[in-house]
Amino acid sequence: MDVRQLLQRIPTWAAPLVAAVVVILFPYLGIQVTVQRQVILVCILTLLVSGLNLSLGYAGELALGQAAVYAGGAYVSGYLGAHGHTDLLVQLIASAAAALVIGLITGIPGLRLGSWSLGMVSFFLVLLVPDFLNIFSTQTGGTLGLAGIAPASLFGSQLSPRSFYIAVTVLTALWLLVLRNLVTSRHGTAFRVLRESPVLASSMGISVFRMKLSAYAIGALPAGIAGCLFANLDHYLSPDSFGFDLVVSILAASILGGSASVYGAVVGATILQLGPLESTSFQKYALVIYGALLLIGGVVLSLGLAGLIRSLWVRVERRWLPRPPITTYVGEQLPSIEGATLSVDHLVKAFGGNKVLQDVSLEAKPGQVTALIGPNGSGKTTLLNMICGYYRLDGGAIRLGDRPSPHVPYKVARAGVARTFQTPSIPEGITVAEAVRSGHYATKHTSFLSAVFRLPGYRRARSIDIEEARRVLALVGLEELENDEAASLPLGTRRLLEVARSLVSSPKVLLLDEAASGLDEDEVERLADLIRRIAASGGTVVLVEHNFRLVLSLADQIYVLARGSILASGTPAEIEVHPDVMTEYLGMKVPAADSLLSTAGIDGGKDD
Amino acid sequence: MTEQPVSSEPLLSVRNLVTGYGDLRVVWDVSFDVLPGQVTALLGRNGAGKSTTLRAIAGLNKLHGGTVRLAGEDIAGLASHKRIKAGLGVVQENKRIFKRRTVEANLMLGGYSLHVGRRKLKDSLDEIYELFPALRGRASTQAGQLSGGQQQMVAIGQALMGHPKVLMLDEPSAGLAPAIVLEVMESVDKLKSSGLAVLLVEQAVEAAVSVADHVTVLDIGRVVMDGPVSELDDLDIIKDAYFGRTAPRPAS
Amino acid sequence: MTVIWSGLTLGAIYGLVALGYNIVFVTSNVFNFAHAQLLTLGTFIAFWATVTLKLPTVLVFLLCAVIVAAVAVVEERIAIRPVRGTEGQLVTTVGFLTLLEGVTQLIWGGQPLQVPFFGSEKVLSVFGGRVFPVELMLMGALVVFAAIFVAVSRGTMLGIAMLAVSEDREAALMRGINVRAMAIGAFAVSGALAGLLGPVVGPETFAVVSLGSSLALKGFVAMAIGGFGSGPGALIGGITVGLIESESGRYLGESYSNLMVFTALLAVMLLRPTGLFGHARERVV
Repeated sequence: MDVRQLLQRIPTWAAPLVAAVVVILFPYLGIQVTVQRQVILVCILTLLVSGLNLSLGYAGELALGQAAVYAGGAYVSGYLGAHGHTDLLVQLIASAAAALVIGLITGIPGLRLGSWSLGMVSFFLVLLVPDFLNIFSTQTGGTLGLAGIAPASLFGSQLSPRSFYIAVTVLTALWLLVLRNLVTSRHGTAFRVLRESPVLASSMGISVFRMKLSAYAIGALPAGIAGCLFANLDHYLSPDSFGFDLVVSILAASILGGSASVYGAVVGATILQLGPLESTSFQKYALVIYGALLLIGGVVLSLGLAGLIRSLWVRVERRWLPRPPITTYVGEQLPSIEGATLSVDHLVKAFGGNKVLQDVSLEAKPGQVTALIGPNGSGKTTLLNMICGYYRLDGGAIRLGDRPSPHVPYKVARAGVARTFQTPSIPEGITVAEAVRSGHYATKHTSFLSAVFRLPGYRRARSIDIEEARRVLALVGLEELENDEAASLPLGTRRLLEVARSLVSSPKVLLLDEAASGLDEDEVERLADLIRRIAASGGTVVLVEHNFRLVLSLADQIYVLARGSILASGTPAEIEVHPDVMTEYLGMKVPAADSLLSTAGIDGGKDD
Repeated sequence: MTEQPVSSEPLLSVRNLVTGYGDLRVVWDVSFDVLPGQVTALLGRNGAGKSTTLRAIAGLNKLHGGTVRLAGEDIAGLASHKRIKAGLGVVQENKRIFKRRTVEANLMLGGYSLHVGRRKLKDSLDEIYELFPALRGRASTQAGQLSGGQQQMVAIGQALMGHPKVLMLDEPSAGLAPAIVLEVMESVDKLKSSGLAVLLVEQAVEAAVSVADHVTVLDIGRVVMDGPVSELDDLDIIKDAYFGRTAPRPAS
Repeated sequence: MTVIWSGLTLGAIYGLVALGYNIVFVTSNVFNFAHAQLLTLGTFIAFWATVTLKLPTVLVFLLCAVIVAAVAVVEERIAIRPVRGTEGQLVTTVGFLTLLEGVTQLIWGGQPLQVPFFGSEKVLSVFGGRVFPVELMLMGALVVFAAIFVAVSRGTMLGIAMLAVSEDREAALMRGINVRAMAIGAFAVSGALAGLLGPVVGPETFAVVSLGSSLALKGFVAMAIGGFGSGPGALIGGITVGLIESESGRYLGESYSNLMVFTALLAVMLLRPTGLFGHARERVV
């Protein structure tokens, strides 16, 4: 027990730190120069792979242009080195800047394209490398390669091979530290949210455009740095180093080490660089093995490790834990919530010539539960999406408090509208606490830099995140599950988690979309109680729900939507006896049905 | 195996069906039969699990439990297209036809599972045009340009082209004008008298009851009412079931 | 004129690759990045059948078609069916491409192999430009196969079913169409097409393993410009890319040809994402 406790007290960064220090000290440990060279190559590949990991593993975008960015960085440093600017720091900054520019230029079309179009466009960029080198052959040496790169220097003195080795390993270790700090920060969670679903991200106030662009730009940096180091390794650059094979090996290393991990890049790069593939007897099988690796990796990737764990968990749960008891719930009092009135005035929306919403008006007040019900195709989802800013208005207005509501989803979220989804949308690979904290992401702005360097501003934001998440988790009674994998929880718990995630942003308006569907009676009761308490504390709750009994028991005001307009509104007591509502749900709008009914013999009692 | 003393064996027999989307279960323990020449109406509010049940019968949703028999044969293990081939005709929600193809192409696709060749399919189109004369002149019109009612006719015609034993209709009245609903229900009535077994999923009670022989009412994924239409004194009992005023009653 | 002929020839090859993409894309909405490598495999089998086995021309075509179709079916089974999501499929199809490249290299080595043309090798002069018979045949093949693609997709039960699957998979299932078999069939047909082209493309490009990746990209550009899933689109897209490449190579310099193609790709994707002949797909939030 003691040993285990002791082990648990060792921070997670200790092992990588020790490993890094040992590797950095290799020259002093009598490790051969040829091995040192291999380590440098591993470092360079690690940098390239970690850039891909950030975009593929964390942000979920397959951008394959690392080889091109790498070439850009290499040739910028090479050119500087060949023209007397040998200072490594200058070269690093120049290469990183070049990488950033290339990353942004290829990233912007990627924002519009996504999925495999982005993959193809970024792939094409790699094909263009030799052409660019030829076009600028006076600077790059063209197909002949760039020779005569002077050895790198630092602060005026030339770097010995030993100090160059140390520079490379230290830089790589520093980059991994930067990446680790980034992905474990609130930004890292935001990236995972983006990967799970852009719709979810914008509903939480995260700008999809900015996050994607950031992922490309930051992912390009290590490739630029790697290029700079590569230029100074052999003092010679050849276009052959930046081809299709490199793309494949970066991708293979990423898949092998696990795309959604920081240190996986090191593992993948080491195996590919030092593994049997580089030995001459295996060389000819290299492509076959890479290919097989990508095939297997791609299959596993599509399931996702978390997906595997989840399906395993579901099986275990069904077997041994019919229903995990969630007991600690005591129904704590919520602090007062500052709700705002959501008002929809004469809203009109048409798709093509088809009017989906006609002159819809409703009002949801603070301290009340406002329910929206209606049959299939009545326009509920459209109305919800319009409130969230996904569609342009064709007429009318949506107001939040005394202001018009914005028309951009993430701005709507930032204005204080939080929502849950019909199917709970929870990113894989994060804990319950992180999932809730992600709901707090947009309420406080912190820069990437302050996250990387853990500046006071970041620490403050993070401690508020943690505190708020705890508070809300206690409210919904999930604090005991704080460190569990969020995506693998049972459905009912995930629904409560979604409510918690929405609550943590202190929303002015809370939209619950079919929050009770798929829940058992106990879970529905817990949810109902939570909703009552939110409203009682002053929150504005809008409930879109099928469960009629739940609506009747919860709502203060009910709006019935039918064929795109408000059919009726009133208190549950009024709606329950409202003749139009009955007919809408029962389909009595068919005037000729009477005649059919009589032929069917309903009134006569017997048919056969 | 059924316990009911009926004149003929059910063509579609569903027992203890449990289904949903992914790990989200929406339907628990639903059972009913559809007899030849009869219409079973599956009623219930929006979200009650009617469409989910129909989709599970068609093989589009995973079955978590229960059995589905088509003409005595267990089809629960078959892939969707094989269920169609085995004699299931499906008219999906929202007039789900191929809107970019012509009416004729749509109808001929309905007979795809028969594998009888283009010419023969073309010859059998007449039967559909007889049932729905309004489609006759529109053969080469793009299906998406038809009126809602005509699209519904194409959808039903498509399902009939496969010569089904059981026809399942998912909310055929949704979004249609009352007169058209009447027309659709009349065609359902004609079909049942030709011996077809029909499963009619509907939200509109009166339209459904006008043609149904048997009703099964679902609420929140469970059967809350079940019985022959002939034993219904009035529709209030269904209304009550809709609004959750009756205690859930297990299916017999 | 000679430049135009060579542009048209290149365009024909790109268009034929795009057509192969389209056959698969229409039936299963999958982008088979490895298709160009299947074509490359076809050129090697053409070499093997002609030079090593010295088979008669008809058998060469048959052998190419059968083997490549079989390989494509294997691809569908191991690289497409178990994988969900476009990112995963892109990784696995790149993987299959690499695997195929590796295996081809193991068998035939890395050196370009000259595949003899079964027809005449005499240079012709047409409209004042020099063109080889094999090049004319490539252009003819593109026109013929694009026409067959259109004829089948519009005029046969199978084609109608194919279009139905591409419009609405689930509704197609409900009409009793075996969507999975269609997907396998599409891979087999696109593989057979790639194989049949081996003996015609080989004499023009040589059989060389690295052909696949560059053809894959240019074929993609052809498909993107013409419109995803469109037969005439593949024809027009292929020719456009071929002409841009050869004309810009001629007037701006070799190094600019890929760059110009890339520019055209970006322009089309940003201005008209569905391509020239593509259908707009409805999006739902």
